Amino acid sequence: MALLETIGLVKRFGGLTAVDHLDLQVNEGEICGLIGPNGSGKTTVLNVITGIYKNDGGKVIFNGKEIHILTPHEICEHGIARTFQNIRVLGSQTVYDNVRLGLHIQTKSDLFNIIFNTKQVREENERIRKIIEEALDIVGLRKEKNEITKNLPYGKQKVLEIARAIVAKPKLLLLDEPAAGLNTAETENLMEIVRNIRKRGISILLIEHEMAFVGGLTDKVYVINYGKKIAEGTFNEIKKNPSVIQVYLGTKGDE
Amino acid sequence: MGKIFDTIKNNILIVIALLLALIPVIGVPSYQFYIIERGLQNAIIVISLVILLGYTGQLSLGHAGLLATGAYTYGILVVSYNVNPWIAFLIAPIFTALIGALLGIPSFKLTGPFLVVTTIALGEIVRILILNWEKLTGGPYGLTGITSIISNSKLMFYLILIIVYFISVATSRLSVSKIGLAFKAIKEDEVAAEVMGVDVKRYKLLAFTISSFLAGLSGAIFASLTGYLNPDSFTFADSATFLLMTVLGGMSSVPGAILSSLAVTALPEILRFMARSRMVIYSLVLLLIIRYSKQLSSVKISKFFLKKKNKEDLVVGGGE
Amino acid sequence: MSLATLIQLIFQGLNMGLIYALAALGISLIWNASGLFNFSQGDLLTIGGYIMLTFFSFLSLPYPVAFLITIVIMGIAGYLLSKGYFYPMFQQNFNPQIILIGTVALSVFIRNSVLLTWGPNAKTYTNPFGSKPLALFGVNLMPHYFWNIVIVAVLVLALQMFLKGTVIGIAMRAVAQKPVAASLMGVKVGQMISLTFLLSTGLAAISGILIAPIIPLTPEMGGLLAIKAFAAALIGGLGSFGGALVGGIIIGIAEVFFATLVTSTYKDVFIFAVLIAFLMIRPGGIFRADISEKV
Repeated sequence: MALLETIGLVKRFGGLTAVDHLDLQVNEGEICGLIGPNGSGKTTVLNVITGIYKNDGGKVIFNGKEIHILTPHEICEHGIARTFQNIRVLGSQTVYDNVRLGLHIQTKSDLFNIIFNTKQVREENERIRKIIEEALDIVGLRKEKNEITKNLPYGKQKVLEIARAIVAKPKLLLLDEPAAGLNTAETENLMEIVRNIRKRGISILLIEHEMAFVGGLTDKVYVINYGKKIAEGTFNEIKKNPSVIQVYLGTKGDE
Repeated sequence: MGKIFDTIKNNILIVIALLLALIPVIGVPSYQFYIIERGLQNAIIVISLVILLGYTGQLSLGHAGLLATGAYTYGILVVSYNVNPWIAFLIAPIFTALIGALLGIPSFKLTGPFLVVTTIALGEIVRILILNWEKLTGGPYGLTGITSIISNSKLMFYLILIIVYFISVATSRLSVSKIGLAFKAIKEDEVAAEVMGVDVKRYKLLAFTISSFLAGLSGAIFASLTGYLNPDSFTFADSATFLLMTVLGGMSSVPGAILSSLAVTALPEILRFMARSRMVIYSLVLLLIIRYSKQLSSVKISKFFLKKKNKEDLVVGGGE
Repeated sequence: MSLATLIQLIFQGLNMGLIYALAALGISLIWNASGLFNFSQGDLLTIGGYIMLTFFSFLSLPYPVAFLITIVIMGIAGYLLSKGYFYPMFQQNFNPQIILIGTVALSVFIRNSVLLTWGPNAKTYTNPFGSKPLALFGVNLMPHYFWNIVIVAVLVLALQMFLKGTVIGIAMRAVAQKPVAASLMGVKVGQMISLTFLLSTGLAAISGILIAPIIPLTPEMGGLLAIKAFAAALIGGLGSFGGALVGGIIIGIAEVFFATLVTSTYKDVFIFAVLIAFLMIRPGGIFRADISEKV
């Protein structure tokens, strides 16, 4: 059974259908790509899956549960974490605290324990510290942990967002254009990070324009245009698909 | 020398508390003593705004209404129902917290000026109800004969000081906790907070509830200190003053909040020699402080404390 | 309720409503130009009323002259306020919340200044339009009802023509809609924002002048009036010209009817409750005001 499945997913904005009866499947342990031209509705798909937008039709099933009726924080609790196309880190907080936000649902301290700084809180802080440092190691930000986030370069903020997402222990990680704006070295480093994350048993659905990135990582790729699925398959299969070529090149692929 | 300075910086709350604890010992004229007490009482409501505005980013201009709720709850229980002052002192903040939670509901949907106007409206509703519900509140004539929790004024001072100290420590702990981080995440990016599992509505409600509880507590102390309540003490201008104290203190610094409350409460008294024009000068000073808050922030006290606060974050986070 | 009373109440409500509408219009103009919600609008109204009192009643200048002087003084004050206080804060990228609190501090400052200058007692002056009601078809209507309607109507039309038909007006609207594009096109954004403040304080002054025959002047009067003006701007749709007018009129009429039919003690509570309910159900107001965040 698929880990994530969308069935006939529809999202409209006024008269515009941004996602049009879309069926997707992400299996456990897979890295799936979601590609398509600009404005084809990719980010909208992620926004609907994570509950930021309410869908207008169809279903999102995750781990056997219908999650399209849930709020974003509930969906997070069910095991989906994500990053954003335009990074959404907390700029005025430290790198450490940004990752700590990802641990929100696993932190159990309540108001009473916090106010009296009980043993439970102190032990939990210690436990959390280890998890955060481990995550910072994975993305290579250990050295910057006490820096104020907005002072970091763009590329580091992007991987920080990934660190924040993985400490939430998701079953599925959604990455929205993780390689956009990164240089070649940073992109290669990012591919390594993504592979590492998969090794930890986290499935991934990613949106990306950088084809080398998609080709190098994904097991399966969905291509959408105007919110409709026009092709699916391995990267090598869809690369040859005439309708995909037509969408990307704007002409009929002759070869 | 630097070491001593650092020690003071890291234990600033204790230092402030100890200095204040000396005041009844050295003996201050009773009016000045009262002003310091009022300053500490204001510090509690300003800390309540630190949590709401400084941490969570929700701007309230209705806190005078919450202060009034706490004050009148205490006053009415003690005067009209002969309730033991200590019990009234406990009920007042809890009741205010319930009212304040209502104030939190509009924050689910509204932000910026939309929310601020709602808080002003709720503050005014409280004031108008007090003004017109004469049987219960004394209306425009006020509520007199409110007994204090402690009749001995020195003991009362120490009680307030202990309460302020405890609230300060608790708030500092809250700031670096899971809850504080959720508050700050809401302030900076609600969507990111929600997606990372923060139940934004619940935490906003929590911020309003905690803040209102403290505002109510401040109100109960106010009633206890003055012994007399009048709707004129709880106007929009008062809400505005609390807000200005919060900004002056650096918005998210607890020691800053205490010092600015003491300073701003004393300011009209310090300016007393200017007689009638003092309130104008006072509000002009506030205007200028806001105008130059950015320039001031490179040198001002609040920055000093904010730096220190960041260090605290790290200590709880484990440090290097 | 007789038809005569009904007409009477509508006129009364319309009168208050138009005053709220003018103040709300000032709020909306500044909001559009700079994204700042001016919490001192009510107190600007108050001080306008007092300046009028000084020139008209104390110095015995003719009504139109005093009217004009008041508007000019207030307009200049608004311009300087923007130039010297608010615009520099925009330029230095202040946290918007701090600038907003600046308007709150300004409100407190004005209130204290009025108190110091004119004293705490309520002040009235002779109604320039006469205080003898006109009996029309069995309905008693005050002459200032008509005058206020005429003045506001002329003003609104003039303002519309200015904003739509003059170079400065178009530049001001450009700044409101696309500040970056406008500045690239050579529009001086700071100047336009300051001019918007000028218009806005001028409008506040006119509301302060027109309200004088209806309610006496007190240093704190701006507080309640401001909330009504906020309510008008928000219910109509913040930033909308027509919205401010419609919102103001709705508030004015609703208030008068509630006071007459239910109780005048809680008329303000009623209006605030309506405002809160309205914001919860339709946060954008009647006309537009898109406050949703883009992800």
